[in-house]
Amino acid sequence: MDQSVPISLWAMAAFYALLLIPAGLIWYFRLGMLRRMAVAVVRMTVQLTLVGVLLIYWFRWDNMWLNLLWVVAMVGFAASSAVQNSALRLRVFFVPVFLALLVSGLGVLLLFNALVLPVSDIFSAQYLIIIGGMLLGNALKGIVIGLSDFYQRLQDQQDTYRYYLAAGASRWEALIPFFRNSLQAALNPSVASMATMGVVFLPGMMTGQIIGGATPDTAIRYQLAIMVVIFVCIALSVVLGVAFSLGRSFDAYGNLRGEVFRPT
Amino acid sequence: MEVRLEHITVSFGQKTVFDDFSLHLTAGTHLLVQGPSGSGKSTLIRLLLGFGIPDKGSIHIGGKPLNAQTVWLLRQSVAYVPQQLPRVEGTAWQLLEQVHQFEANQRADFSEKAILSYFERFGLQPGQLKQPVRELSGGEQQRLALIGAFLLDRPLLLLDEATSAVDSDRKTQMMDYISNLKEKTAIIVAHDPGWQADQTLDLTSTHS
Repeated sequence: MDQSVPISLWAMAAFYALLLIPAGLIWYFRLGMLRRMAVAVVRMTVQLTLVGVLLIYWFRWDNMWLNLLWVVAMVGFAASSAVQNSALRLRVFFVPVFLALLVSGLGVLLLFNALVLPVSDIFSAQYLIIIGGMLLGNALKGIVIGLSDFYQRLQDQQDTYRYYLAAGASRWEALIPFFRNSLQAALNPSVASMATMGVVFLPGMMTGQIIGGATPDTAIRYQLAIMVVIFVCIALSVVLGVAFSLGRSFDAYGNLRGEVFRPT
Repeated sequence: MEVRLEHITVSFGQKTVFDDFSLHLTAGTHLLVQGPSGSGKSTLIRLLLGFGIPDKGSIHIGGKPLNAQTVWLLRQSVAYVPQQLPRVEGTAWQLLEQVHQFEANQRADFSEKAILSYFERFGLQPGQLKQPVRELSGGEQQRLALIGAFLLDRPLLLLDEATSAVDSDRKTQMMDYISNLKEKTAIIVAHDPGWQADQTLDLTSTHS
């Protein structure tokens, strides 16, 4: 099954040595992020190695409940990472973002698998975990952009929001212009990337499949399907993320709560 | 519409803006609110709109207590005009249209005829209706905001420095127009001289 050429440990070491180039640039231009870069590289290495080891077992067991557990854990990490990458407060936003990613990610993932695979296999590790990871990685970027834009714009243009409320708008009516902007901001990168796909760059999933031995025809079909579900997932996760967070972010008078943002 | 504030206390950190403050306006009263910056003029307006909640005391509008349940309905009785229109992207028409699309405002008169009649009265050109709001001068924006409030035809007017950027001739005209709205209760926060009101509240004295 695995037709890709394995990368030897020596070759890996050589790749890591290439990191000296950006490290040198960071040091020379005094960007002050050498330590952060080192931590990120170590974290990436440790995390991916651990995931690799775990995946060996998960693929071996290939149990539906364990696979679902993996996806839920991924959603948890994605939710935490999404909120921490924004100016929003984790305590307020973790649960809404977790639920938004879970509903949109898992829903779209199962739909994707159901359309691609025989029903008996839709929970198989090879698809549920791998496609799920890819989907969540992209949905995470979308929800970070969407939620940050929504709450930041609301904070910056509170006079506009209040003007609408004062004119008799319901909370939702007053929020629609802000929501419209945030959904647009979240979807824009995907629209741009879909428009240039194949011309400007070859997407990661397709590249991986071809290296793994799939024919370009199969790889392209998968890539097209995954781009569609990523787009759907981003749209759904932003809508649900905003909808689920409204109850925690506003008081009963419709005022944006101060504790929405992390203290600076 | 009657407005009653009873024993209101509002503090921001160490600063007490209102301390056991009470106010009663019968329906149709026009109140001019004056005082230096930071004396609580805008806070008073915010309290009446539910954008600030008093630490102590109660607010009644039209006989109903202002609370989390009633605030949504009470806002539908108010026409609020801020000193500056919010930053919006669209044209004057689109701003007015946006407000009239809210469910609560569906029954208000939003005909072009009604709008243009106000435009003519307050010296705006019909063509300015299609002009982006941000291209209008400060005075024109204020007149547009007031027209938006008049179109809603609400029983309580809350004006927060609503004519500060309007030129003096127009300002007098607008003050006269508002003074003649005898059936409406109006709370007018203003530095400008020339407002005719039934009562004046000088907030300097509440802090001395």
